[in-house]
Amino acid sequence: MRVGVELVSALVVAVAIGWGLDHWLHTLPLFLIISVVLGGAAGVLNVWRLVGPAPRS
Amino acid sequence: MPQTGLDQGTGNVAAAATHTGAPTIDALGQFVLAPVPFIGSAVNFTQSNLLMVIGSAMVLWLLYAGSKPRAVVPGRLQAAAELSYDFIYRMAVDQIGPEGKRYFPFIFTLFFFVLMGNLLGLVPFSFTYTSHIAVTAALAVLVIVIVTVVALIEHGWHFFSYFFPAGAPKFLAPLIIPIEVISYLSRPVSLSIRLFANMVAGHVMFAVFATFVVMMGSAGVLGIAAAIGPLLVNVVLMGFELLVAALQAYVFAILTCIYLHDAVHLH
Repeated sequence: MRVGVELVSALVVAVAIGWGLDHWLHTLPLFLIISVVLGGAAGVLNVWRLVGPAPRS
Repeated sequence: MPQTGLDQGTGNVAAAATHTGAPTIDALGQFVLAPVPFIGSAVNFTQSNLLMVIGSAMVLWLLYAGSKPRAVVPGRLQAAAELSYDFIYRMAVDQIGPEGKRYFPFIFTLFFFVLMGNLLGLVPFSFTYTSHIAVTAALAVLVIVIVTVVALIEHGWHFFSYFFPAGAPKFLAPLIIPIEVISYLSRPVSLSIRLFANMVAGHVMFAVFATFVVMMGSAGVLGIAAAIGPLLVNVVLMGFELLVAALQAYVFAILTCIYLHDAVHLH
């Protein structure tokens, strides 16, 4: 449940940003495609922070 | 001919009436907002707001009544108040560090507001205000704004180095920074969706199994015997939901602590 939410929420935010940028700059598929890739990466990063080893500090 | 047509019509209406009269699964009707009678409709004061007021009043009462006796050996009420204070205080200090004392009132308020929402929602005929994404999203946005403001006050412009981990190769910056920014912005989304989804899922399950009881119970003697199954499921579910209510409030509070830790220490 937690992992899924982390993964999806990053993607939701990224798609919102990408679509907003496209809507603003009239470049519809461009930023959406970029941000979907980045959002997927951010989701994996979120999950890694959740289940990965604790950061040294 | 018209006579039979009329008969058929009334027959259809009767059939439709019995059809709608039979219980159908209406799992989402419990989340509909309704203004409180007498005072509610003019200012849109709904049962959700009423439960928020009741929950906050109960926490205030617990702290007031719990701190009044000032006994050396605490009674039950005082012990409850001291335990709740101690629990959040230790959570704040453990997670954030010695600076956590400053944010203790915020975390305490947040935890008990969410906890009261989750627990009061389990009272029959009550309403779960944390089952609305508007409420949880407002709380999550409040958290993220406060965390960002704290980080900006503590570190100034240096805060933006948070989005680029030290030691990473410079040419990866255009890739890493957007990913870190998206990851940061996804925090309020995941924070609000987690709480809201847990509450909605639990209460939908209650409604579905409760409707099963009614549906099977209306299907004769055998049905009544079989209806004990979903009834038992609901009893077990109530215990499980008590766990989820406390756990989700705890998760909300501890994630706020972790975000505040990041804001105070940057990593």
